[in-house]
Amino acid sequence: MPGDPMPDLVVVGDSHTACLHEAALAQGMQSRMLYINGNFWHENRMRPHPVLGLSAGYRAKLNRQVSAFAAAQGGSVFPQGVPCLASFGYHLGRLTPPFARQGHTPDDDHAAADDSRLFVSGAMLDAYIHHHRHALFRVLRLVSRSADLVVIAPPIIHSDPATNAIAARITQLLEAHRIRVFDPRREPGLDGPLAPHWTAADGVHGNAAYGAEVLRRLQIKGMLRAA
Amino acid sequence: MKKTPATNPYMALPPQAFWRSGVAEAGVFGLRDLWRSKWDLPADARFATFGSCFAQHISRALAARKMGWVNGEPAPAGTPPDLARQFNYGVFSARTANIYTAAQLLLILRMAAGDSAPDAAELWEAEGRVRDSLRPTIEPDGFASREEALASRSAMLRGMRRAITGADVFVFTLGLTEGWENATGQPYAVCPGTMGGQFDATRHRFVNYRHARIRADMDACLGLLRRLNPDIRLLLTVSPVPLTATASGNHVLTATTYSKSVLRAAAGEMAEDHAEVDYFPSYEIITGAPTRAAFFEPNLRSVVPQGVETVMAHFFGGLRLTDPPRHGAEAAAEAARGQAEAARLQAEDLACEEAALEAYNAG
Repeated sequence: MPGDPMPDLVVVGDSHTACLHEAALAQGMQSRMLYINGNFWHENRMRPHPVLGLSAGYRAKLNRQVSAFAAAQGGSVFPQGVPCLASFGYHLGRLTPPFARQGHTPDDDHAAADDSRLFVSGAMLDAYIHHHRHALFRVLRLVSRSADLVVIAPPIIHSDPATNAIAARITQLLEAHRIRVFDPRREPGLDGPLAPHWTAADGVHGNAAYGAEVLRRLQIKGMLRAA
Repeated sequence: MKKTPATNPYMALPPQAFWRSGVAEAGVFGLRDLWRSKWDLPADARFATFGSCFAQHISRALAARKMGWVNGEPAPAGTPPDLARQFNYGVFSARTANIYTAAQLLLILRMAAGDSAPDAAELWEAEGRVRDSLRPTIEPDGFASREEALASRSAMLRGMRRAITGADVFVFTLGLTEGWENATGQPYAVCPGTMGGQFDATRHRFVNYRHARIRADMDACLGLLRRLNPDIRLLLTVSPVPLTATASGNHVLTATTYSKSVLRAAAGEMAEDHAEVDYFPSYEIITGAPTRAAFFEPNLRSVVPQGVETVMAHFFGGLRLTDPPRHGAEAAAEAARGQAEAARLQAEDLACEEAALEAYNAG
């Protein structure tokens, strides 16, 4: 609500925000979460907003949600000085299935292993990602200039080489824009399919324990202040 | 004794057998029975299209009519059309780019059939990028590495195999007799140094393929096609697009006439000699006297849309899609895959909402 004290942490993104938010609360942090369904992020119509930090374009209901969230913390979704974890920009569950539906993969070993697969070049993959994610990248690029932002790549749910290659490439593209990224694919112990004790009951998200592990590693790396 | 009227074989011929009634009086838009397919094809017949640039029009026309155009190497789903086009997806039935000569087709088919290794053709490296000598402009900026170029070539070969095995008819447009080879006889798509590579007069040689070689190469191509798909038919066309330039030493006009004549003769003979080969006269429709070159742009080279439409009207008018459909199971399987993906996404959506709501509950 307007006038509320500033939070310790802001978590913004799709359903992968949940485990981070829960873990932060469990650590005693004043965490606030703005969850927007992955389908809306995948639409690639979110855009930067000079005051709110984020706009959902023509989606009025979503904009009201964004405005209310911003109002509760001084008027911006990404308040200056408050660490922000963003779980948007990937949305692999929407991006990869169509990409790979007819056997396409950007991983040459993956392609070579099965006659039904079709290799896709790095340049084509970059162009494909850009087409589907350029608006989100723009939001992240602008936010990262003024806010203490870390993008959290989603956990590895299925060890599918095409999905992992796409995720890894998104991470590289974000980092090329000087956006800080925590990618479990580069983390010892997190770089394989999500362990059962870190998997939520729905089987497609990390649970609070996984969220806590991510926060712990962020703190060790100096990417997030401890509570 | 009553005198019998004089008779001869021409007396019983139809109007289209005579120039006056078949062409001069009919005019370009009155041409009738120019082509009738040799074959009764299934009602849902599938076509694979390859060859020189004019073959692209056949791909587009089949796709636009939602007829069975096989795309063995489509762009990933979700690729916008302009991006697909930029990376040469959807132009032919696999990302071969233009195949101008019979020798080039034969090499690619040998690779696709496993008779030649995918790395049996040169890669050209320059300024940190790599281009495929069989399709130098397939990627706008070339490939990042030799490995990537070879992986992409392998995908193209897979796509070509898919197209051949999935098609009822392999449509191939013969484009040129002139080409360039390296010292081992590997044909190039273009002269090295024009769209990639570096020209080296000691290693690169000009070839003006003669009729006998083209015929032999096309016979070998037919054999490979039938090996990959015993039921496939080969429909040949000759590109009406003149040569941009000739390296033969002749005037480009006579070089063009020579080149197209040789190709036309080879295609005609193939169709005469093989029941599974037919010839479609797109070349005649565009370049024939009735058009008075009206189907060419002012550069007298590019074909105007109306010319393409006229060609395709004859093509679709002459097809005999009279046999029962045979690809229903494949279409059903594709639809089932789409439904399964939609159901999976819906289930995941539900899981996402629940995960987030639980987190709000925790706060």
